[in-house]
Parts: sequence; structure tokens; C-alpha cells
Amino acid sequence: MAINILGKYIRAKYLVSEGLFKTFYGIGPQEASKICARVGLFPKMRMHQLSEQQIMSITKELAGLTIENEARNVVRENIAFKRKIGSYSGIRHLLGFPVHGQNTRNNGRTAKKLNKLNRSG
Amino acid sequence: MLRHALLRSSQGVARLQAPVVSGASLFHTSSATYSAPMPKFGLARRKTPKGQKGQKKSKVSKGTPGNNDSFMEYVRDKSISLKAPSLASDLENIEEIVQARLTADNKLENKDTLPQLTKYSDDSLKRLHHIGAFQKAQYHELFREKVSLLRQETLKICNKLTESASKSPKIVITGESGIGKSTALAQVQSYLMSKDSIIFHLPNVKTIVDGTYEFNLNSSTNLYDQPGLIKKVFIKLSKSNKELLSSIKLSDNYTYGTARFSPENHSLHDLVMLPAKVPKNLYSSVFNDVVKELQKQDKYSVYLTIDEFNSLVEHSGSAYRDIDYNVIGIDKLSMVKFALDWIKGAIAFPRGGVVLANSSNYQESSTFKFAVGMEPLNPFDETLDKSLVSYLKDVEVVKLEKLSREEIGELTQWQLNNGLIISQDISMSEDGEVDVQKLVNEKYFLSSNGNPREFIKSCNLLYY
Repeated sequence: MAINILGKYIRAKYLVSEGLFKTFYGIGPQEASKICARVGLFPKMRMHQLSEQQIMSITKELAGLTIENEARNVVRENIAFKRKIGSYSGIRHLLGFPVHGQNTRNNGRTAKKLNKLNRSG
Repeated sequence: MLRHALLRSSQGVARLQAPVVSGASLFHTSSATYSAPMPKFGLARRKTPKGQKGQKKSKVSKGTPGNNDSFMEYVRDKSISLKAPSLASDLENIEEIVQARLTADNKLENKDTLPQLTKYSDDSLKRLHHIGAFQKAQYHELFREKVSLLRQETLKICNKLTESASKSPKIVITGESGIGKSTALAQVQSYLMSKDSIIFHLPNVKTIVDGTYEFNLNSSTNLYDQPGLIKKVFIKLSKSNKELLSSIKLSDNYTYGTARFSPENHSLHDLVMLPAKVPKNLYSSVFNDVVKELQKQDKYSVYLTIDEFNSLVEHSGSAYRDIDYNVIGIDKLSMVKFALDWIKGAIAFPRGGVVLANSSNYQESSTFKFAVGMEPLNPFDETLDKSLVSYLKDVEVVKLEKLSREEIGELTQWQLNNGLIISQDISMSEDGEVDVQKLVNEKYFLSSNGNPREFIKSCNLLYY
């Protein structure tokens, strides 16, 4: 069984806060528990215990936040800005190399996978 | 390829014999075994058809470490009774807790005597089960039935509760891990039940503050109500005090939604049963009315009992947050506030008292220690919660001490008589008799100088 929030299916057995931060890009554990507090949910509430009204309230809260593609766009814009001004981290992103001074002789696989100008995730 | 052919040829099953080394014994470890040629193919196992059960599991499962599940099953399966048949006959002769120490004038005797093996009466045992007084890791002196060792401290607590000069005595039982705090509380509860007292037991108090229950703000009291918890408390209250509550007639008319209660037709038990007609948002007002009714009656004394009390007051804040994401203090939760008020004396009953027991699974906070007088005030302690101190300052501490060498000796002798001590532990003296003194000294040392749980561990748990 799964609960549908904003078109995404979340496992019914998850805690509400856990389900929110595991599902939506741009929501961390603390933001998720803040949403629960604003809606008035108790901390150990599970997804399957949510009523229709509570799901609506959560959806309303999520609509006011920068999440999913909006949040990804913010990251992309930041990378594009760094590239535009010609900063070191901008160049490293362009080359697909680690940004924070890590070695590249052996590893750097994550950077090669993720660091792009049009970053996906 | 060959393997496939073999598998196909004999109805899906190929059996190959393991190589036999001639002249080698069954369990030898000589090089002959290691140099023997390894079989080319593994033994093909017959697949169990769907729906057919596999190999039968052994009766006693291993269990998880720390819980001694295997030992508990061993006791439950009567294996230990078979080993020591006299245990079963002993059980019939064991006196009930209250009768064991009652004097002629119906008072508890208070002499310094050795601990006595007692059992709970059938009525109180049933009520204690409803309350949830027994924990998993209580061994009940190896009996399948709930039996316990009646100690001096329990009698002292019982005497304090019944003969105290103060209107509402408050006692907290403390002590190290495995010393018998929960057992002592269960014994006190059993004693109070025999005295026709209503036991108001708060179960699993840690769950009250850790965010397990649904909560909502009650605008009239400005406290947070937990309807699920109220229902659970009512279930335990009604089941464990059914006869007593049924005999109390309501003093007023009450209406909750479509549910109506009148003094002519309903008793307090009907109100505590919380019928389905009562809406969830009115549970807290039902709770307040039940407390009012208990305060009005003068028939029975009412006692609050809480196990693992230190888990409730471990921190001043709960896991709940308000809409501004501020931590909700434990005294803002209505049930905790009710319990703390009772402990403080703000809520009083005609007769009764408070018995609390700490748990070694949770730490005793500096606030708790200072409030009950176990520690002096530390002015640099930032975690000290002064509001909580005011609730707990009248509570009297009863610390359970370890068993003495004589008491351990008695228990060891009892175990020895019933044949429960493993033979390799028993050493013989020159006369060919059992050296009891040496065994007692050894057990006293192994039980960390008289800890009951450690004693049972050293005698039984390690071997079964």
C-alpha cells in the first residue's frame, strides 16, 4: 500500500517525516519534521495513519516550498553562475572533476558522474 | 554437463557418496582427511515442494542475545520442572504474598528475617497481568507461575503506605540493575489489591513523551491531550479494578455527545469503559470526570503506580513540537501533568498514595536526583529543571540493597536441594559430602556480592 502525495507514491509503513524527506528532493529530515509540526502530526505517525485532510495540509505546505525541479534548478543556476564568472569551482564543474580539492589520480568517480554544468540531481 | 545429465537422469536428484578413507576413525583430524580427494560434484539436495514444511525447528529456539529467550522457553516448556520435580510440589506449599507475613492482628510483621518465596493470589495475579506489571526479563525464581521472593524492603514500603502519618505517602523505589525494583513494585501492587485499593497504573511511561500518541491542544486547559493514551489507561483501569469501580455509583449526570450517564443506571466502571458513542475529542473531559468521581468516593483508597518512572522525567522536554517547532515540555502534556500533580499533592484523594519504581535502562537525571535528595544542588548544572524539582521534592526514596551472604546461602541451598545447580559447579569435601560453604562463597562472588539477577545468571542462565 502506498500514499500518494503530489503525484509521488510513498510507502505506507514509513514515518511521515521519513517518507517526506526520502521522497522529495529539497526536503531534509529537519524540514520534514517542521512540516509535521506545522500540520500538527505526532512524531511517530505513519503514512497510513494520515487522513485525507492531513494529506491536503501536507500538500499545501509542500506547495509553498522550493522542492523537486525548482530546487534542482536553483543548484543548476548556482553552477552556471560560477562558470559564468570563471571561478575555479565553475571550471571544475565544467571538466567534471571534484570541486573541493580531492585527488583525481585514482578516484573522483562521484564527481565524474555528477559534476556537470547541467547537473541532474 | 555431467552434472546436468546426472540431475536429469535420476528424477532430478543425484546422490554421490562422500569419499571414505580406510582405517580412519570417525572424528579424527589426521592429514588423511585433508589429503583425500574432494568430491567433484556437490550433493544435490532434493527441493522441498511448495507448501511442504522444511526441517522441523528445535523446540527451544536460540533467541536474541540479552533476552535469554532460550532460558525462558526452557522454563515454559516444563523442562526445568522435569529436571527438578520437587519444584512443582513446592509451588502448592508456597504461601501467598500477603498471608506470608500477616500477624494475628492482620498487620504485616516487620522483623528482620530472611527473604521468603511467595506467590501471588489468583485474583491479584490476574489484575497484575491486566496492568502489565510483569516484564520479560523477570525470572520468577524459575517457576512457570509467577512466584517472587518477598523481601524486607517490600514489607517496609507496604507498611509506609498503610500506616504513614501523611495523607498521601509518595515512594520511589531505586536500586541497581537486576536488584528487583519491578518485582518489588508488583509485590506492593499485589498487597494493595488485597487491601481493596484502586490501582491507577500508568503503563510504558516512556511512550507518553516520545511521540507515540496522537496529540491535540486543549484550548480550555492550554495542555496537550493524548486521546489514545487516555483510552489505553482506561482499558487497564477498568480491567484491573472492575469489581471496585462497578460498586461506585456516579454522583452526577454526564453527557458526552449522544452518550449519557446517570447515577441511577450507571457505575463508575461504565464511564471508564469509554463506550464507542463518546467522541474522541471528549476523552479528556471523561478523564477529568472520572478523577472527580474517584476524589468524591470514600470507599476505596486510590494509588498511582508507575514503573520506569525515571524515563518520564529523564528530560524536561518531550519529542512533541508545537506549530512553531518549539519543544513541548513534559508538564504541558495533560497525562504527565496529572501524574506530576498527584505526586506533588495538588490532586488529592481521600485515601491513597503514590508508588514509583525506577528503571536501570534509563538514567536518573540530575533533576530527579536533586529533587528526591539523592544529590546536593550543583549550581553549574544547566540541565536542572526547577519546575520539575517542585513536583518531586516530597518523594521518599527507598533504595533496594543487595542480598546478604546469608540470603545468597539460603537461595544456593534451595537451588542445590532441587538439583538445579550443575554438577561441575559442585565440589566435594574430603568426607565425600557437598562443600556448600565453598559453593555459597563462589555464588556470592559471581552474583557481584548479592545481585539477584546476577545470582540466577550464575546458577541457571549460563547453563540452559
